[in-house]
Amino acid sequence: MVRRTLLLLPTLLVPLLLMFTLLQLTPGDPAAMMLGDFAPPEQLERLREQLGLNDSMGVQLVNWVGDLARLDLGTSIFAQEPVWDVIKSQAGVTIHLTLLSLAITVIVGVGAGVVSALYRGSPLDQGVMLGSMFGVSLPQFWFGLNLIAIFSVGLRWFPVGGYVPLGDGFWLSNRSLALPAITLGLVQAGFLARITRSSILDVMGEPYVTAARAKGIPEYIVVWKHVLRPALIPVITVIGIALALLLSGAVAVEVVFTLPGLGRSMVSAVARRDFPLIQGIVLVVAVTNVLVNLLVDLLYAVIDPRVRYQ
Amino acid sequence: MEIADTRSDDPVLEVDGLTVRLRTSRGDVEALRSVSLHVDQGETVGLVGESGCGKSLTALSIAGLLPPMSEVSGEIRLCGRNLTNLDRRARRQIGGREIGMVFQDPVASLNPVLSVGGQLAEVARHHLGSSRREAKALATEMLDKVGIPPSRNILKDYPHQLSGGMGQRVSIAAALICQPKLLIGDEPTTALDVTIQAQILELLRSAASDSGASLLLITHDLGVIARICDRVVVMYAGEIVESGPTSKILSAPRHPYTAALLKSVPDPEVETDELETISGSVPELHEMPEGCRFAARCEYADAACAVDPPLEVISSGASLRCWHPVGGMNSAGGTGGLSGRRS
Amino acid sequence: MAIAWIGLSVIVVASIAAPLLAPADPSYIDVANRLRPPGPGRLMGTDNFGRDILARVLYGGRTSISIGVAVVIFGVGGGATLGLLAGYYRWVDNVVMRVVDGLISFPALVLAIGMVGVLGPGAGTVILALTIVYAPRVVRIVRGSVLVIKEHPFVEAAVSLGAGSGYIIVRHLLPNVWSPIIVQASFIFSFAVLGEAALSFLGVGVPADVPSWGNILTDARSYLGTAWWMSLFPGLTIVLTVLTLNVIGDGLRDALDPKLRTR
Repeated sequence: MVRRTLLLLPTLLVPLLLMFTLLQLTPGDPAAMMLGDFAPPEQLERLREQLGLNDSMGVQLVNWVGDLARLDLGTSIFAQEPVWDVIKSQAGVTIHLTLLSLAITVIVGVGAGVVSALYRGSPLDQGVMLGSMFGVSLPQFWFGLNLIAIFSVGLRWFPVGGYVPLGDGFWLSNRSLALPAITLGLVQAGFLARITRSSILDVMGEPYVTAARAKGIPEYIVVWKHVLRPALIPVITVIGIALALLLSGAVAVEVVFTLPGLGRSMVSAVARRDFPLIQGIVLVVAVTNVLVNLLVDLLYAVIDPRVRYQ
Repeated sequence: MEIADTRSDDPVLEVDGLTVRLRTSRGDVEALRSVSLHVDQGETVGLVGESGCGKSLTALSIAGLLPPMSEVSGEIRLCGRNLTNLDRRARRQIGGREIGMVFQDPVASLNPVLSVGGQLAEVARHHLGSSRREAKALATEMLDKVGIPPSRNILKDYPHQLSGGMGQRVSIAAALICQPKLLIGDEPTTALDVTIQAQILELLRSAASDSGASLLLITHDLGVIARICDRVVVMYAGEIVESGPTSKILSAPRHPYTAALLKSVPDPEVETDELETISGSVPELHEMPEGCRFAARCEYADAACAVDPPLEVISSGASLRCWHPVGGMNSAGGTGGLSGRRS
Repeated sequence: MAIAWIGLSVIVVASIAAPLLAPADPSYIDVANRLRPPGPGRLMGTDNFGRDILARVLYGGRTSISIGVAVVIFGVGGGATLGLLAGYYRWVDNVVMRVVDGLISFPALVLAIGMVGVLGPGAGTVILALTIVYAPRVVRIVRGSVLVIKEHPFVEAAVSLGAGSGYIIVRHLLPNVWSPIIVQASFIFSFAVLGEAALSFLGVGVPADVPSWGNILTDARSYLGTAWWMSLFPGLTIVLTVLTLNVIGDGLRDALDPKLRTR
């Protein structure tokens, strides 16, 4: 248990160190960038002091780590609020979107993969494979744009953008997220479908499946009990990867559908050179990533006896 | 679906002219040609031949486990009942109930994510309609019979925790739990340590006879045959070339291939400088010659061998497919065999 | 498969030859002709500034594809080198793999945006960001292959004959990892094209004064209902490019798989 957690430490630290290093290497004066070139020198100097820019790199690093540990992510330049508060207010949207998309990805992806594997070689199988290859090649934001054009502007089934919080109504809220979630979910579903399919086909070729058939067990039980259970184990690990891909895609999708989430916030932060906010979001994403990986590892241990009884 | 008990002198298994065509990337090939053999009540029959001769395929055909891309003709009868014209479901049902199969790699033939007990029980629950408790008791009893006493408590264990020998015992237990009429072992000891092999072989024989099952043993190892088989069937390139009682075949083989096979087993008591081999190699499935398939490597071959000899039944339990059997057409002795070497 | 190769070549050649093929200067603003649907002389229509979209797509292709190529060269080249070294030298392995593990599970785009956020937008930053984001995959795959091949008898034989490390790496290990490297190159290329498009679309990639497939689509967003051609054509081009790259990658993977080589 402890060992697994230690293994995940780089996943948390490396992105952050990368950001820190890049920040150090940036040419130009971060203070000037944040306040503007024409800000009075005393203000610049005060900000530099505040940000610790005059200290040596080592001291800065220590301070920075200390701040992070206390959850002091600094103050957003633009919003003039603590970064942590800004993130808190927007995280909910992103979480809601990601979970909804994950549901679509898993249901459609795994479902298509299973069907495709069981009817291997049929037109259904080929269709699924073609579809998933196509899906993986789509730029997600473009797909989203097209969906808006067809379903929001054209058919008026869904709103063009904006987010209705859960508190305002379960159905309305999810409806506002429907198109974005489909955009994100379908594209990743293709990826999941391929992995599911090949995992099932691998298991089908294993000796224990033939042995089960030799026992005279009817095919549908063989598939359900002997094939799907081992086959879905690697698929679970892939769900962890799928989550990372979803978070990535969420950024563009949030912008396209004007959802007030962390992704869109990050993009505007970049436009405004709001470093504290950028770093804060990267940190939050890194932590989430680590937690998800841990969860998947635990899940894996629960499901696969080979891992459990080492 | 039970097979009605027939008179005890009817053979348990009869394979009659089994021909299997497989569709491969290089066209259709005849993997098995007119295979005929039988197993009588209480017998242990060994099916021997080198890798690729079709013995595993024969076993799979009998158990009804052929891949879908195959064409089967001929008949397979279990206790008089024809299996080949049954539909898939019925075949699967009867196959599971009346034929038990043990595979080569015990741990690989058990599902890694299901417990040992579960995999034993599912057979009983499905075929015998046992309740969970009944199945568990039956499983424990069966495990005891194969030499794993209840004190070991392996019902909850998972396959990867078992050693090869234990795994094979479990497989045998699973195969026999419904008291099938026929037990097929497909190279059951090949993957095991030499020290365990003898144990498992003995177990196969005794467990089968205790359950009232006859045993068909597939192997490439003549030592295994010598140890527990009453009769031997020799296969080459998809055909049966000879069969007969073990002692006869081993001492006086009649087919040149059998003779060559026996000669190539080094005799530990004789000093030799060279190992005997059979020159040439087995023809590829899609390049099978028209006549006798062994002719190219046979020292007795002549023009007559351009026509594939038919499988002649010499007596009950013995057959031969050859124009030029070792030792002449009608003699009982021969120059090959494990005894009687050229000095 | 063959279709994919042909398709890709067409796209690449068209981009390189853009100045010759383009019907007009992509930056030429012709307000009188703004937002015209596709028609004769305007195969893909014009955008909100009257610029010819076909021209912009062709020139945009130069940008996007060159960025893609750069990412492949640096990412796969650098990644493969690191992978080879990591597979061969234990100490390199420890350091490099910690970093790789740290980066590989992180959402790619978020990391890229973060980097651009700190360094400022521009083609160079995009290349750097995408390289850092995608190189770890290559490192891991190459290292994995090296670890396996290292155990093969012929490597032991070379060592016992006194071959130096450099020699072993270049003459023995490298030829055996070519196939996964090439397969990965194809996929990394497709990731890079998609990545650049997303970054530029969001305004954190190639700035608007140089057309790229991504930033052409930024303007298209406001005209979804009215000028569908503004988003359709650039988007389709991206899809086709990435699709052909993926098909090629898959095809290469199947063709180069040693297990299937005995045909």
